[in-house]
Amino acid sequence: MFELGKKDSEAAQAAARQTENMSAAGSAAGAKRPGTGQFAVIGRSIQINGDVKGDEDLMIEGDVSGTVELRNHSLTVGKEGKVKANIFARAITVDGTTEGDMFASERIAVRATANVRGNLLAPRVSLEDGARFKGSIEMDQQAVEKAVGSSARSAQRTETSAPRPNGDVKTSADRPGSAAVAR
Amino acid sequence: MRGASAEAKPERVSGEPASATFKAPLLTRIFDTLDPEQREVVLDLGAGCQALIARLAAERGCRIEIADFVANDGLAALNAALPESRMDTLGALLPQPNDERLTLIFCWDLPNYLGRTALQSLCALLGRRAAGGCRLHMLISYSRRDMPAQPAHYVPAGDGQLLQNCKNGERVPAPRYSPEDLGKALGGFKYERGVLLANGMQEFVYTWPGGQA
Repeated sequence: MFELGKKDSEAAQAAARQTENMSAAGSAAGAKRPGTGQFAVIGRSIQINGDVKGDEDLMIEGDVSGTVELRNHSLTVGKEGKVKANIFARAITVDGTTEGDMFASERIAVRATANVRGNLLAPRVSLEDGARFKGSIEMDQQAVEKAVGSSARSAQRTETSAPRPNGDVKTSADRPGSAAVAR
Repeated sequence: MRGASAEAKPERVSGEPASATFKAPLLTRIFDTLDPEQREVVLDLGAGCQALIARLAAERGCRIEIADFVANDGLAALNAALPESRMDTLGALLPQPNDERLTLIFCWDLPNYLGRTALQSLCALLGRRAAGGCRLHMLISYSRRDMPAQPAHYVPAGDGQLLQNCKNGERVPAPRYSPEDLGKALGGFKYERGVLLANGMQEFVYTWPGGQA
């Protein structure tokens, strides 16, 4: 499991340096979008097989398989991003490709460039013209609360022991290998 | 059947991409008569659109399933499927079901691009997931001599209108099905009502037997 935003500063700095070096797109582990706060980036060359968790906003431009859990934060899947995972977040924006169910406590936005397969559960869902989507959309408050709540309980049950890595991180520049991804 | 054969490959002619709006009274009636106390489970075989999501999911708490047969090669898969393998392999063309059955299905334009056996397969597929009383709202080309070479994208535009967007201007001969042929191909779905629209399309509502959804 990859814990974002919970690393000690030394590990975080090391990971940041590593991610900066690994990024084929020139993206950094921490980046700033105009007018917004900082967010972590999984760069274009990075592949993660496992669970990604964090306490900060995240942008994915690489490949992630497993689960993505940012309960109180936003996830953006960039145009280059490919995510094969169930996603739990406060807000989710998809410009790239996803396969799996998405659960958001606030909103899900599927942009025109997105290719999404899976079920979307959130109080607000938007689907731009041009997006490719196959799946279901559920905005009913009770259904969303039930789904988000049950998924939260199920995630908590898997967290009874101390967090530890249980997946692989690979980069196209440095395979095989593993790295923590943190800002 | 009038016009082109259901299985023949139509001859294409070029033209300009086009958008147009038209009245769809049966669709308006469906929206107007939805029971506010009943949760609908809606399947859109097309690409889906924000207008439908806003109207059905956001305002009414309906579950919406979107299959997007055009982008996901659903039409090609249906047209190519062999009879014996149809149901086993074609189930994956629809979104993964939950434990609720469908109460409303939108099938706009797609029958114009399906052969008869493919259309029968589609209806058998839909019948497996339909609740009793499920309504199937359908649009086909009817009185015009040609139609877009690819299925158009339809968006409810308010005031009972549908906006039709054709991505390219290629056109092929029409119609593919008469109402009688369509009814025969639809298997268990029962004809409820049909209206010829001003743009040459025919609007239909069919229902799946078995009482109210």
